[in-house]
Amino acid sequence: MTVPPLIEIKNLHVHFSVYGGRLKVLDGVNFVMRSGERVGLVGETGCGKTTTMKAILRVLPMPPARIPQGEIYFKGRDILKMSASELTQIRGQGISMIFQDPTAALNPVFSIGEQLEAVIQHSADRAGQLSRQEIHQRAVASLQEVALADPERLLRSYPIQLSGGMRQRVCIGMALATSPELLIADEPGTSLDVTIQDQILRLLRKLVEERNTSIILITHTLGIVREMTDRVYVMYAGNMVEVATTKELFSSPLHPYTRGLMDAVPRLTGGGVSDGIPGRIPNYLNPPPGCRFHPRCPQAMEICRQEKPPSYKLSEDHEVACFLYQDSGKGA
Amino acid sequence: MTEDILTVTNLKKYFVIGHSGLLKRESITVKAVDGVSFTVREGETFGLVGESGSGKSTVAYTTIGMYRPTAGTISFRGQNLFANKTRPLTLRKEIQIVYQDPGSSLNPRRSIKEIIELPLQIHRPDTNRMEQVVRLLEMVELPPDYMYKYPRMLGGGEKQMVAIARALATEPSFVILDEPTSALDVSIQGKIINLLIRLQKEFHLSYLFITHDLSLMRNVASRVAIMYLGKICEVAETAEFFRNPYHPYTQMLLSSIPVVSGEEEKLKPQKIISTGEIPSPVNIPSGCSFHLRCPARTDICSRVDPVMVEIEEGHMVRCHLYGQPEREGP
Repeated sequence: MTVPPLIEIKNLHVHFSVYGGRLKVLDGVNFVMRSGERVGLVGETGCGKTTTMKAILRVLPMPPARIPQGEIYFKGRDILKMSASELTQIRGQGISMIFQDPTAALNPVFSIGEQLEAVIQHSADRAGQLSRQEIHQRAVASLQEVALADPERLLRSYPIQLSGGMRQRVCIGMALATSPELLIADEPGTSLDVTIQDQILRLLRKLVEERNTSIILITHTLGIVREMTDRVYVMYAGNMVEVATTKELFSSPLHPYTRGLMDAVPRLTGGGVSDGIPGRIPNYLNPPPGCRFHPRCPQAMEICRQEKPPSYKLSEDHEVACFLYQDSGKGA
Repeated sequence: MTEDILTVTNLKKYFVIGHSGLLKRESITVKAVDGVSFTVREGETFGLVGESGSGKSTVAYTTIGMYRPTAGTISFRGQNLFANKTRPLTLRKEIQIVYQDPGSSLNPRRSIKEIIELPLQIHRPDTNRMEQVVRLLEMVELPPDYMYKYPRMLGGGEKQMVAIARALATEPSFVILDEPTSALDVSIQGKIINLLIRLQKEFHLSYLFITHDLSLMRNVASRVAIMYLGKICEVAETAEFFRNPYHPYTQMLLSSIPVVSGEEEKLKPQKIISTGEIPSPVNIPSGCSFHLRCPARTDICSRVDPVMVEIEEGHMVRCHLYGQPEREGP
């Protein structure tokens, strides 16, 4: 018997109803990850990275969001068909999330202790009763784990009294306090300075390795993906356009979008900056027909304007959704 | 030898943020910029790099004239920018700025034409405005019909191009670029950067380029200065700077950058690992302000603030590790 993947997304569509029409944001997203993997999800602002992850946790506001099509499996069970009580079980213990902006993720009017202990209490209710003392001890332990000094004092303080880096550490501690199997980290260092971001990412990597937690890292910084993940999904305008092992993606990117993105990154070795990718991300009210990238693609062909490219499997772990590779790979 | 266009000498800008004590009211100040000196040469791109709170934007805003310095001077082609109470128009015309977020630096209720026209009305009232607006839009590679659009109809990159066109409307010789691409996606950044480089060559502009992105600086600046808590810790020519970073903070910054290739990885200092938090600028540590996070600190660092020394030609470092001149006690 085969073990079902940790997360499997099949042909996920997400639409948002807005004034003036319907935004077709996700356009058939496919995604698979096994237990213990570290997967990166890269793409520009507004390409649907966060929407995909919010769909996994079912925290998309519905309405305006609608999921007309698609399935999301967590260890073989369809999240989209779960009851509210099943969902609460998965959130926290199964899947936790860290958000980009720790200031917005923490409630300003409750102390760190109240917020952190509530999370522990909530997950403990199902696992059996914990005394106040035990909950407090666990809260202290989870702050120590994220290398925060003086946890007793921190538990009594409010988010505004902490620096951005400390707040993000608290959020990481909170996300891991319930020992989830999967951690979704949405741009965990983007709002922080580069030296602090480096500390946060190193901490995250260490914790994930120690506990063998699976992680999905969402970012628009390619360098972070290279340092933190084993496998990468590249997303553009609501589609997964390329997936490969991190090593392979950085040595031989195939999709014209991935290539453009790689070229656009200024290098520490110098040599000038490339012009990047012309144009901008399409309007989701009327996305371009065929391949959504074709208006910006330097290698667009006639077929790209008419048909949506399927995903071509070029090797065991390299798939690309582009007609350029029609002949070299078999349709997946 | 190229001439200096902007000379900043021992610039200080303190902000009073409150008072302590009931009877003896002592003001609490933030030393946003605390003794910064540098020069920008004619036609070059001088990169000013630092993390948030380092005071790099305060330097920019003081140069443009939004603040008066607490101490020190800024002179432009030998002319003190703060000699008069208000800055003469002829000087204002020469120094322009492009802000970080074009979403908030362009008035949402004005059309692109009105936005670009305003500096023309003030500084060049005799020109044919319509002609100039078209010419300026062409300069930043936007089609002329964009003048009838409003900021909300444009993408982030296009808005930034409008902001650049507005800055160039007065025909300045010196432009301050305050993080011009950090609000934009990396796929759009390149276009803006290359546009700026082209305009610089065409109109012989000098840039003060403010950013937190060192990889970008490597590709754009001719010289780089690193700021930390209101002071400059290291200045050098770009190539030399990335080959031999001396200051421990510079090394920490470089080692923290996420890179996309193995060759870049080799350029990163490996021995230094980022630790500690950036202290609040209200409570700047004694001595060298970096000593709390510095892996190479010694006793003297917490007592004496080091001075700038020139290690190699044009490469200045402010750190006790590198031959501080003799002086009297702590």
